[in-house]
Amino acid sequence: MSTELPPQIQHQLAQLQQIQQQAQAIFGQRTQVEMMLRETERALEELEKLDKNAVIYKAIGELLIKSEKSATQVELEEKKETLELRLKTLEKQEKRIQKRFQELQEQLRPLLRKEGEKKGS
Amino acid sequence: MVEKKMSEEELRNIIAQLQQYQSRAEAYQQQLALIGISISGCENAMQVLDRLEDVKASREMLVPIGAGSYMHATITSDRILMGLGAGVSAEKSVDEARQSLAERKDQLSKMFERLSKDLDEIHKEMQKLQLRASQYR
Repeated sequence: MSTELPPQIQHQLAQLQQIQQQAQAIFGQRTQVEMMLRETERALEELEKLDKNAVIYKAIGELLIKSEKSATQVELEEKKETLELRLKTLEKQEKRIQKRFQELQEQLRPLLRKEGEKKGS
Repeated sequence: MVEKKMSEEELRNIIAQLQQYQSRAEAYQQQLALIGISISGCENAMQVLDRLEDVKASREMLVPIGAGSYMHATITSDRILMGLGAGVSAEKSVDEARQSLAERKDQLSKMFERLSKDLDEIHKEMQKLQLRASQYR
C-alpha cells in the first residue's frame, strides 16, 4: 500500500514509526525505573521495621557484604533520590515524544485522506 | 437501516489500536509470568522453613551445587538471611522470615489478580476492535 504513496508521505510515515519506536523504548525505561524505585522504597520500609543493631548484608555482585542498618538506609535514600530524578526526566521525554507523535499524526491524516480519495475516484 | 460504510482510514486506525493493545497485552503477560515465578519462590522458601524444623536434630545436610551434585554442609545458625530488595538482605528468625514471606506472597497474589483483570479488559477491547475490523468491505 505504502509503495503507491508519494515520497513525502512515505517519509513522514517512516518518521511516525520511528517516533513510535522511541516512545516504546522510553516507556520500557520508565517501567524499569518505576520498578527499581518501588523496590528501593519497599527495602527502606522493611529496614525501618528492623532493630537498630539488625544484621544487614549488601549485595556486591555475587558477594554479600555485612553492613550497618543506618549506612544502608542512607545509601538507599540516595538511590531513591537518583531514581526519582531519572523518572521525572523520562516522564518529560515521554510527554514530549507523545506530543510530537500526535502532531505528526494530525499532519498526516488529511494527506492520507486525500490520497484515499484520489485512489477512489 | 443503512449501515455507514467504514473508510480505509478508520480501518487503519483500528489496526493501529489493535497493535497497541497487542504490545500492551504482551507486556502484561510477561509481568504476570514473572509474578507467578516470584509467588512460587515464596512458597518454596516457606516449605523449606517448615521442613527445616523437622531436621533441626541432625544439622548435617547436602547443598545442591548444580548438575545434580551436592556438598556436605552443617547448619550453624538458626537465623535466616532474607532479601529485602534493592540488593539488601537482613537476618531474621525463622518465624519472622515465615511471616515476611507470607506477607510478600499475599502482596504478589493481589498484584497477580489485578493484572489478570486488566489483561482480561485488554482482551475484551481487542475482541471489540477485531469485530469492527471484520465489518470492513
